[in-house]
Amino acid sequence: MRIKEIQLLFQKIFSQRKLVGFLFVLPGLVFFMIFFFYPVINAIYISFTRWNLFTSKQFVGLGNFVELFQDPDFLQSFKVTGYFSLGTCLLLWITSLSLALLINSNLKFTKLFQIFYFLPSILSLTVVTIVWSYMYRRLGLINMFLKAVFDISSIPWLSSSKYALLSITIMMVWCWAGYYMIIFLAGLRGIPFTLYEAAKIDGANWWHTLIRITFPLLKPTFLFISIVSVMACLQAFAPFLLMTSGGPGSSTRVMTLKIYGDAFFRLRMGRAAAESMILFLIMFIFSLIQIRVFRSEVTY
Amino acid sequence: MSTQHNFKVKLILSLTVIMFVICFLGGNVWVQGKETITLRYWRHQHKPAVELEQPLIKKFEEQYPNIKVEMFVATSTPDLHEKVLVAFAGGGGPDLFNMEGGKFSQYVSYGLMVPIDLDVFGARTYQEVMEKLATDVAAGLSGWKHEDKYYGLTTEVSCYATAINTQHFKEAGLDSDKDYPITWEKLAEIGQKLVRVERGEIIREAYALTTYPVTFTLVFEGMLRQLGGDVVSPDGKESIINSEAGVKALQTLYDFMYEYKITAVPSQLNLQGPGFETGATSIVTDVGPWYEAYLKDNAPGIYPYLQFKPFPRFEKGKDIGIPNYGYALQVSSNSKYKRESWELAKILVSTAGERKRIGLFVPDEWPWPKEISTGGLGIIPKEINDIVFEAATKTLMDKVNPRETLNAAKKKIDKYLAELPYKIYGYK
Repeated sequence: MRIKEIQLLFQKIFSQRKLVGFLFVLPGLVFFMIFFFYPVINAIYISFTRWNLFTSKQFVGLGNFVELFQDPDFLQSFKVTGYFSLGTCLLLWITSLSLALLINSNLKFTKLFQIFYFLPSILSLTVVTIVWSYMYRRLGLINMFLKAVFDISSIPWLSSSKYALLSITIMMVWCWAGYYMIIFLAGLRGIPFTLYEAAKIDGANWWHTLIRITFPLLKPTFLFISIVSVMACLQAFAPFLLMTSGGPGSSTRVMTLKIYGDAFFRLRMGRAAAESMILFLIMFIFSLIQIRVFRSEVTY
Repeated sequence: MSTQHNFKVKLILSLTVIMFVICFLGGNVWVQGKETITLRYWRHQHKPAVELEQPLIKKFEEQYPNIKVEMFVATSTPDLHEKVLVAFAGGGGPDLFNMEGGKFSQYVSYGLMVPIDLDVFGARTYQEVMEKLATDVAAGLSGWKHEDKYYGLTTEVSCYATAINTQHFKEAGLDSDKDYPITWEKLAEIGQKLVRVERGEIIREAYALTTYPVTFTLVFEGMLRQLGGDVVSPDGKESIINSEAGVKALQTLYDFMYEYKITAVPSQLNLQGPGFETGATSIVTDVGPWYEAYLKDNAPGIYPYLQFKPFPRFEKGKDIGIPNYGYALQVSSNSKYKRESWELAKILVSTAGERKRIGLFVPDEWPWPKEISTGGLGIIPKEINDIVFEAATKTLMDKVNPRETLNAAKKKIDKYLAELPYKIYGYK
């Protein structure tokens, strides 16, 4: 009787169409659970422990977080990440939007310029970093150009804490501006032309149409770009590792570099996990703020 | 229709289960089915050493036909260190690896390696093992000792010296045999004749400072010891980097850049031996005997003008060179094939003469024997190197007072030492 009941239950389950769908999704779900969900949960757990990879984990509660906020190195990396993200994002938005407006203005050779501006974004960031490292050298292209044209003595772009962060910011803007320009361009081309025509008839000049039509209708695009670019800046790692390794001093030691150093060189896994949690929280809060600020009811 | 549907569902389910079984068990079945053993050997990139070891590995495989050796070459020592640690933490990693001395304290305290297998050498004591090894290999063994057991077979013991470009000396009207920088003070003097400036820019440096944290710390540590100071006190409990010796050493390097202008302010960090191989530098002090083979391969135009001289001393300082460093073959405690790994290690260290020829062991010619015998042991871990370098860059690049940066460095090193869960070997 019992076996029959089990057989019936088995048949019932297998006759359900939902199960078939579930089976198709299962491999992806298993992959997600193992490689995404489990590491995230594990990282949260590790952030509450003291662990160096080789000894057993010791639960310390919020100890790692308390230590972090008393650690001047962490606070410095927090500050550097903030400066870098703010500077890069602002420059990036201004540059990419300006380029998109230029390309969208029906000037000559715009297609060609569009390709040129977009090209850096298809290059590997590692390659870009290495090429720019050479350009930033004492007798590199940039210093030679400044010397020849403006008679400026060579600038220690990557070895002075005055310039190092700025140098990486310039490189990142050069590298990413083309990509964001394309997104802005798509947003611009999605705005109905009739709105501009109507504004023109009403006597609006270029500035008015930009402020009253273009910017408000670009809000959804701004939202996407602001979230993606802030995330990218907060997660930037390779250029800092390859160009300066966080130096000179700790002037370019961003949070990702600090996490990497604490985890793999100092073997402080608990502390590194706590730093990652803080970085995650910052990103999460930023995204919420951006969604709220750029929330748009505009439909066209 | 319903029966057909059920059949399809069962078929899909069965195939899914089979697929998972193949994925999870297939690999193991395949490995167990073979009778050969695969030994994983990891080391860092150094072309002459890799080329020396490849035929030895082939020889080993011929000697043991059931063993296959998989050699992995990491781009650098820090890269190797990172990969080894992560692999070990996952219970895997190499069977045999070649690691530098700065990591020994950490590795041995976490139980990552096993002591040398005496049976492999047909010996009953470590003393007997030493007698069976070549002099250079045996001499370096003491660096790999922990609680009366030896954990590594030395593949490299080295120190830095001064490399000069004789062609540049000739052009400056200097005799490279007499006018070389025997002291730091002399370096400042001859440097001003060697340096080339055009339109206010140094286009050829007289002396290039290493901007790689590990090598910078070795150079700086050498200078400190010459002045009676050190980075860490002899008992290893606190940093003494902010002593008068530290301030004078850092001020000397600062003066090279801003007072005598013989060293250009580096444009990029993390460069070793910068500019020498391109002819943009006349003197460097961060290269060992291995540099000769490296230069021959990579800069054949500069190689004929390379000459090694002793590491500069201070006029009123101690007559000692730069701290020594070394590498050794070590067998992982995770390895299933420990004995086979030691057999491979034994073959790899069998060519000490060849290692000496490519500069992995210090040559018998001047100035090397004195430099290696006076330099002492370099045992500073990477974390302290980074703190020292951070302080130095603040002074050298941002012109912050040396005393201020070294005081900050001392605080950081003291904090690091207090939190360190193991003892750094070499300190009492």
